[in-house]
Amino acid sequence: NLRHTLRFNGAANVWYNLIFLNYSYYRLLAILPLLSGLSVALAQFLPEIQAERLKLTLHLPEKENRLFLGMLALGSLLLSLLFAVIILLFALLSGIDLPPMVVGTAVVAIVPWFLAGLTTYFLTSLIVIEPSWFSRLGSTLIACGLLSGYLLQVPGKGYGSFLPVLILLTLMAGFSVLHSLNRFRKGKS
Amino acid sequence: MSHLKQIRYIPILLTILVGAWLLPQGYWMVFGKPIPTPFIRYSCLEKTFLVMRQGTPPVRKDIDGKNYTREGFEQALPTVYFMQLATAGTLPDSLLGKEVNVRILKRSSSVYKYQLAAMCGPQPTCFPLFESASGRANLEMPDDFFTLGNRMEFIRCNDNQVDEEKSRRFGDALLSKGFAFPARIIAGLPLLKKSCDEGYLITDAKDQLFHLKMEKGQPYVRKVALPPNTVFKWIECVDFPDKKYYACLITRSNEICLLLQDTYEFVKLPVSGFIPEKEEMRLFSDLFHYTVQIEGEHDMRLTVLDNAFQPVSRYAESWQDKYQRPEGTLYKWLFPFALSLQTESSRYVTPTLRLPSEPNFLVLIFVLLSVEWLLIRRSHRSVKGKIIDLLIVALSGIFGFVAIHIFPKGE
Repeated sequence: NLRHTLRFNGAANVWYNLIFLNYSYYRLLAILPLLSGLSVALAQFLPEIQAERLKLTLHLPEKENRLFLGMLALGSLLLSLLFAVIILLFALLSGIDLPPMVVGTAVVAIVPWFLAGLTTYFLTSLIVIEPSWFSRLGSTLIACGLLSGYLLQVPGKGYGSFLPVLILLTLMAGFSVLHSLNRFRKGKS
Repeated sequence: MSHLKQIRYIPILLTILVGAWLLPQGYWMVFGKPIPTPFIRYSCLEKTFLVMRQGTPPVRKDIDGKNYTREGFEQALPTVYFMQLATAGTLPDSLLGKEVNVRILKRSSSVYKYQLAAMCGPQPTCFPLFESASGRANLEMPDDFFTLGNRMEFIRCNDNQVDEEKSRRFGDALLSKGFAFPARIIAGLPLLKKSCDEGYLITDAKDQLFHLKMEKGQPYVRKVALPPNTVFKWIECVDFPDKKYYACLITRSNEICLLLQDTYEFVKLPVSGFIPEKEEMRLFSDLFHYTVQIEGEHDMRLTVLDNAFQPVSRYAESWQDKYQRPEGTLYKWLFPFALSLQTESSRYVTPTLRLPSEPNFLVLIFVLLSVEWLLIRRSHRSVKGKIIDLLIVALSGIFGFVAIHIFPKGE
């Protein structure tokens, strides 16, 4: 898509639009991590809940949290690896036609989207495991609110120094899943 | 598994943060009203400030209280309403001894607007250097963009490679004038739609100011003489028909300055108290005066200068901000604090905590604590076991109340 745009509109005009008019050739990437996180969480935990296999898992002769944390770690590590590969490929391919400062700006712009993908995975897991429908609804609203913070319309490096805060919020979302697990284990509704 | 019980406070904290961010925002979306600001201009004929306030009909007066009709108001501000006066056939042939017509007044009028958040946000680091003496009627987009890091580099757009010869030629021209890499501020008008290209104003690592252009493919570099200890934090170039000044500059001490066209004369405007991180500024220029208008959240200050930049008159006015209005009063009862990620003064995502100016929110906190206590008693649970929940409500009000019910204890 970028190559096509450069060829048809002229490289100088495209560079100008990228640098001064906030044109982003990568906007479509925004939805990909969210869908990935949602799909992996649903695929991983929904069958476990519906078939009541998670209950059995928690009764196995093994430390209660270790098995579940293992499942969560597997999902989040696979997603993180996938996202890291995508970001790297994006930077390398963009760097063929665009100067380093433009590529750097684009990478800073897309990192929050991939953090949103990881957060979506954690929060979807939390919602699926949560036994109470009231808490599920409340958690869904909170999740939508939190995720909108990762997808603000800001220019290029607008997220700059806020990235460490986003990473912290993502980690907090990860730990929050354990609260739903605790309530699930106690059979709360 | 007691540590697992403590995990509950992490989603509670997340909920409080999200609530403190979105609920006040949602409140202002529903209840917020636009705050009308007055239109104030200095009349070169009446020698006083004229004010128009919104209303049905709008109220037009001068600062001494004299009322004006709409036509009288426009007649008293000929440098502002010259198009309307020309249409009505009431534009005079001369003003203050100078011959005027629509062409002269239009050419001599300009408005420079310093926008809040212009300074505080991501700045471009790659710029096109137009040919400023091409002999062509229209400007043409160059085939390369330059950067000013540890050296000057021109990067060709077609193959994304550095043009070493051009980079060295322009870099040497800068070095010969005493330029110290890297650049700190690079200001210009990277547009095709302008009357002509005047290149870029650049400050270097030693805060010296340079003017860089490309004329017939060759570098033009001029070092601009500045008063000692003048350090800029913002430079914005302009392109106005009157060609009075190249740029508006703001120093680290928040002084507003102009760099005059062609002579490179540096002028500090006699205006104080401007805070560029929090206020907007407009510089109106006409045939007779410059007017500096500084607008904050709830006040406006105007300084009128003559063509020699000497002060002629000053005026200030203030009004209630949104927190002092009825919708602001209700806001103070509801929310103990508010979190924002984006502000008008910055294009970065910047978390800002707004703390209460009055203790009205304590009433709602008391009500919520009472409700929570009743709920605890009704469920026959021990208040002692819920003491942390009560503390969360006491500290975070409605945000904490919602959070502890979305993420209840798993007992």
